[in-house]
Amino acid sequence: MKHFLLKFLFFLAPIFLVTLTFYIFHFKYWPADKITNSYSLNEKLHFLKGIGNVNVLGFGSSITFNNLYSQEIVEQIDSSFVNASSWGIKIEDFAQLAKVLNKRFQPKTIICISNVMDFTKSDLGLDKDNINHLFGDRVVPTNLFDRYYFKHALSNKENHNISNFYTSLKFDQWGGVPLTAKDFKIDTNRWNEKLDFTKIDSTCYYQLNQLALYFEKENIRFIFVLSPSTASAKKNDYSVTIAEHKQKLRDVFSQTHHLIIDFSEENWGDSLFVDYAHLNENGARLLTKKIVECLNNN
Amino acid sequence: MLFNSIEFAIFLPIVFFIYWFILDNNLKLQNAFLLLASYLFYGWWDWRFLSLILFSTLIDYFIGIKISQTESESLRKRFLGLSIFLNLGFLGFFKYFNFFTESFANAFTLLGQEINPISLNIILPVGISFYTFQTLSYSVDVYKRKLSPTKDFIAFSAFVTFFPQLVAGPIERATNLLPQFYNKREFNYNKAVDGLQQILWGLFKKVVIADNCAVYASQVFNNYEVFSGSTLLVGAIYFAFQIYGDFSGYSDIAIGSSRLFGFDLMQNFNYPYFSRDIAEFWRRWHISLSTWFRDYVYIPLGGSKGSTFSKVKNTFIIFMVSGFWHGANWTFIAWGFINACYFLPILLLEKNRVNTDTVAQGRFLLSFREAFQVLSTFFLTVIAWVFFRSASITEAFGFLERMFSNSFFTKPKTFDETLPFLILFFLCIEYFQREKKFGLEFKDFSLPRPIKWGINYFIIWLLFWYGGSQQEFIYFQF
Repeated sequence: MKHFLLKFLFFLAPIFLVTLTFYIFHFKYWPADKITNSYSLNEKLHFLKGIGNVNVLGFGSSITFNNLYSQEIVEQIDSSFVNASSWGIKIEDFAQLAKVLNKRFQPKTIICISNVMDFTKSDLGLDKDNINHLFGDRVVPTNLFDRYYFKHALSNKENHNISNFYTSLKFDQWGGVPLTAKDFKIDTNRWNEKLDFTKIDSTCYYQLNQLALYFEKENIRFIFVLSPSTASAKKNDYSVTIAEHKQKLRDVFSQTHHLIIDFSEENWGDSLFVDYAHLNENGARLLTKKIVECLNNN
Repeated sequence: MLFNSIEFAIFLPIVFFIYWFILDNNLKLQNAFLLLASYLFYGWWDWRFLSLILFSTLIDYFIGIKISQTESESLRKRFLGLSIFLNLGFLGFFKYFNFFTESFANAFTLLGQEINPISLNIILPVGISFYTFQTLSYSVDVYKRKLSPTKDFIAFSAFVTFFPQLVAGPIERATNLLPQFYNKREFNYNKAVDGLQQILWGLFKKVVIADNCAVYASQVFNNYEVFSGSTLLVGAIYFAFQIYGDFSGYSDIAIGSSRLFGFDLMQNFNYPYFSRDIAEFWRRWHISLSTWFRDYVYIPLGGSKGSTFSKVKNTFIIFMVSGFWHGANWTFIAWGFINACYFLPILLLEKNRVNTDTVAQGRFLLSFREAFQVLSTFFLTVIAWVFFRSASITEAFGFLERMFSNSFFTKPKTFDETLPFLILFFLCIEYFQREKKFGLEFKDFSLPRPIKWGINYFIIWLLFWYGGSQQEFIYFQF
């Protein structure tokens, strides 16, 4: 029996040493606690831990994440600002997280920059359990073989230090991620993507309506921005499909005092984009300037 | 606690250490300790259900003694009836109450009468379908005088709650497992090493194959309307490997863990996806459940003896009850019904015991005929799994209708470039080892230790590198 135990420990020793070495090597940029299935949301939640109440909250998908230029908001609207967005947040997720966000940040204004892809089914896997723990204490990993930490440990350092690729998590001090225009590594597939209205989940409109009514009740000003996209992202029937989408959005917000700011049919030069829908730093600055102008005029 | 969790990785070595190092040579203490460990294991899920399993244990313990003390046949039958009533009663209440009330209400709605069913917020105790059948088998075997009832309450309780197989099987027969609690267990080095190998293989099946397949199977089944027919087939195949990897992986871990403590559990899966016909598939899939139903339901009903009508009736009963055991949904009953339809022609043509050996036994490759048989049997099971996985019968038919549409002939989406290769690797190992008890059994190989260890390290690397996001074992919901 002792022989069995010794042999087993001897067998385990290299595994333990390799794992320990890997951890020590990547310790500084070890991924944040896996609270949800979304890597960027987990990293963003870690970033948000030190942040208290804010007056202006940016929330949404990667469109808000990259296209909302923090400096402009801070200088022109309110210095008490944080961008709590992350990749892949859908309207469905936003609706689920509304109360938690309100309780946590108690914002007076929420800005969401959106495009049609936010209106599809979510695969974030948010449920009651992890929503309640989003801003809670440390999460102890329970799965012995979850490659999440190993997989993201390899790229986390790079992601937190680069801003010329799509996976950048180089947060500015307010949580936004402006993407550098210079030397940006454009991906052709992403550039050639099209806005697809056929994938819209119609329940999203109802969820957005509930969200809007909730914010209205809580006296939170909700600014919903329709983001611009490249000319090539628009299919031939774009004018018809976007008109339908916008009509539904007007119906969603009709019983509220919230603001819709629409850039969806404007023609913005390709030099302002990094793909079909995400703006580079210059594009984000310009968009945010225009949002601020609209807010000041309203 | 899940078998691939950190809690279990801490729990198992501690129990092992105490069991062999501190309590060695004391059978009664070892049994008591296993009982305590098993209650801790089960209570970790939800401590509220400990009372239920304790009650179930007490019922069958005392009924077993009462049956044996009584000479009167009618009284013995009544005691057995009481055991069946209570055990199935608990199972029926916790698992099927809402199903029956809702189905009852739906039936009235079809007749134009709306009624509001009583719906209770009932939590299904983990493993109830498994330990209930295990204790029932004890009562029935005592009644049939196949087994003497035990007066050792600790040994009996440990048999009922034995943690490796408590929550998802194998469903052990008292005639196999209970005597092992009476006999002194000696530590056996080879058995323990084999046990660890089997645990490792089980983890591979669960963590690498099942959990990765689960992600894409879910995407396909939850949004089947947007995918092409060929992609739906890929999704259904992923589910076939998800459920196999999940369930047989759990069984491997359960059997391997038991061997660490000196126990031998029954084999629960015998490479079912290499079956050449449906009858063979059902001799290889979830063996503990199918043999339980055969011995305690099918044979008492008359089995395959008697008239053709009797054979047909018994076949449909057994498969549909088996489907119903899996869950309170018409989809499971439909799955059972489909399997009965597959099985019946083979039974009526008396070809159900044609393929009783292993495919390509003693040979390296399959013949073309065997390959065709294996692939077509697999295809039939995949079709049936669509019903098992779908949320409703309507969705299952919708899924199949879309699968067999014109888009069946388009290029499928595989979601992940690596997963098909992992499945292929897995199938190669299983095929090569198809005459062994499990995929990593090295018994007949005289491989040098560095190679054996190299293979194990490789599998462990696959666990860490390709481990999917944690999914609960499917069969925990049964």
